[in-house]
Amino acid sequence: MSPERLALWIALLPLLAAALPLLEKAFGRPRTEAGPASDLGALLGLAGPLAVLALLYPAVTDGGIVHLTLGEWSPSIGIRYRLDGPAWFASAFTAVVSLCAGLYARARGGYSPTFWFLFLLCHWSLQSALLAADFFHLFVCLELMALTSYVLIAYKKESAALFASFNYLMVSTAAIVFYLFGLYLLYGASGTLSIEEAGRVLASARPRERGLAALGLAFLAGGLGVRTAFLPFHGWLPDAHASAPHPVSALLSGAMIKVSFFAQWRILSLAEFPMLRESFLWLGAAGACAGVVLALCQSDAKRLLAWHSVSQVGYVLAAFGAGSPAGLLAAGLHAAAHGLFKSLLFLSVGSAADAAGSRNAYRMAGAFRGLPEAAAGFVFGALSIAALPPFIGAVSKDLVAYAAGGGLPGALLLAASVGTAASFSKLGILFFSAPEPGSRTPALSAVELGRLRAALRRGALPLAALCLGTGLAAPALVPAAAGLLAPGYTAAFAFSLSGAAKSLGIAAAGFAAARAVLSPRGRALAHRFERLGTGSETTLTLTLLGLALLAALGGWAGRGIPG
Amino acid sequence: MIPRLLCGAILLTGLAGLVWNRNLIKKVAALSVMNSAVILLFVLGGSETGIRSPILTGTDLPVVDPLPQALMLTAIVVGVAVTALALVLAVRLHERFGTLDSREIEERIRDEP
Repeated sequence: MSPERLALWIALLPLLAAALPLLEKAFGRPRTEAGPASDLGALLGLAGPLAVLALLYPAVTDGGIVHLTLGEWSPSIGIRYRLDGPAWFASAFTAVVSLCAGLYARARGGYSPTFWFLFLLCHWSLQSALLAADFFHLFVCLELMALTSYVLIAYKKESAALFASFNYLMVSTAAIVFYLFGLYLLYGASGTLSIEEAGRVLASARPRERGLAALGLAFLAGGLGVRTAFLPFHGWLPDAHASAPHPVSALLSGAMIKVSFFAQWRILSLAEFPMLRESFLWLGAAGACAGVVLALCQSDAKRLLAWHSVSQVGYVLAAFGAGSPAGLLAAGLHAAAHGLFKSLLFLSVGSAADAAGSRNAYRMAGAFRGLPEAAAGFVFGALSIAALPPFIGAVSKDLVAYAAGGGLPGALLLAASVGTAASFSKLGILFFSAPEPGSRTPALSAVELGRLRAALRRGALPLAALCLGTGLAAPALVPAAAGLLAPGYTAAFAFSLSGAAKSLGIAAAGFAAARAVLSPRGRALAHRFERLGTGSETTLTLTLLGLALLAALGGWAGRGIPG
Repeated sequence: MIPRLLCGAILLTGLAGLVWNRNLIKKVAALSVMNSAVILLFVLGGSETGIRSPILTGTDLPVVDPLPQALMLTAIVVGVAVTALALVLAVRLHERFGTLDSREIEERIRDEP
């Protein structure tokens, strides 16, 4: 099979596999657990794309591109797929995260064929959004992604999840309207829907057209920004990711917010508008810092993790905004690393919260008793996110710091690193402290605890192994990743003593900060800021301000372009 | 220019409803209004190349650009799905809390342990 035909199967496999659980629901007897058809579907739809990707690796490395236009339409208006290095890379880690989240959900139990149908459909929309090479197909994929995620978030029908899902729906649909508006401007200026062709047309267009296109790109960036949830588009994320079922949180935080980022990458690399890109450096660095401060204030353990997603996406964006090949490499690697360790953290901390009967970190003392897998997962994830060598987080954060350079953005990112170390020290201190004697009755029966452990062994331990393994193999993996993400850029990476010393210094400062936050005064102060910036009205207002800001920048960048 | 400005006004009306209205159902309606504004804008943009239906019969009379219409058909379908789901969520929330006031629901969720 030619690479063109093969690439189609990355998206086609999850879609076809999604039909199996649906058939099981429609024609099988009513069930609350996945049956054989759902299992087969999950295997095909989650592991299948990985096998296809492995076959396609030689075709995309070192700048190779695989193109495909569906149904023999003209490339400028038809549905077009494009598998390039960054898309392959993102597609691979999305599939890994989805597979591990799926394995966890299957072993944990309590997820019906309906869930598996939605889960596979969601995976399909993620994969085809990564392949989409025209603006409108991308819009459809984004909306499918959103529709499935609204239902998945509210799957357990808890009140908080229902409301979080509703809020997410409001803000992301409003933003997608602006995406369409941006598309209108861009189509008006370039007369094509293909991302690549728009880039070619615009390169030789008149100043008026280029100005309109710059404004259109700014609206597209804002619409995608809500999905990526960087500052100031982040308000919906903490509640949605915290109240979703654990495997869904892992999928959403680990993969979904990155997929829209890679779409952003693809769109912005077609037309160079420096202002917009530079603003990402600043927004990213500010978001990394703000996210981490608010994460430190949280008492809900999953909400804390969700705020860290806002912060980590800030790192990714800052590296991307730096614009250099080193920045692209760092952005892609950190997005993947975050996908691995954040989904690991959501699965382990979520399981510990189930065992403790509460998500409140202050009531989770001794939550890891009887759950050694969760403890291991948490420790591996926390060491990765706090960037301690030899875990993968240390590699990617080191590259991000190098790409972002010195100056204020660099300083903000350094402060965010200290904050990250602080908030995971805080969780560690709380989780591993001894529970008050006789204060707690176990929230789960022995059978349930057994299922939880099995789920962690299947879903979380592979992720933990990957966090450590990819970190250890970094000297070989970084040049390979550079071949995919920034072809032509030769990158080398080796762990150094000075780097390790710096990481340890940051971790020590973080530990001291965690003790301060855990003191009675620190706790009182943190409690006051716990809900800051996540109300439904605040979310919408911030989103609109962000859109206005990007539009102003885009409009300004468009004016300055010489005809 | 005036039709475009009117589309913009519809968009802003929907946006204002979304931000300032506290009733969940009215928020959903406001979203639909916003969506419709952009759909109108696309159709308007497509009609600028001509007014005849795009059935190519060999005569070179100016026809409507068919692409925006095709796109908007899809956008309408997606919009229907989103609206339906939003209404389901609103109904569920009303069952749970007995109110459609977003601020009240928000406060009650916050006060839950």
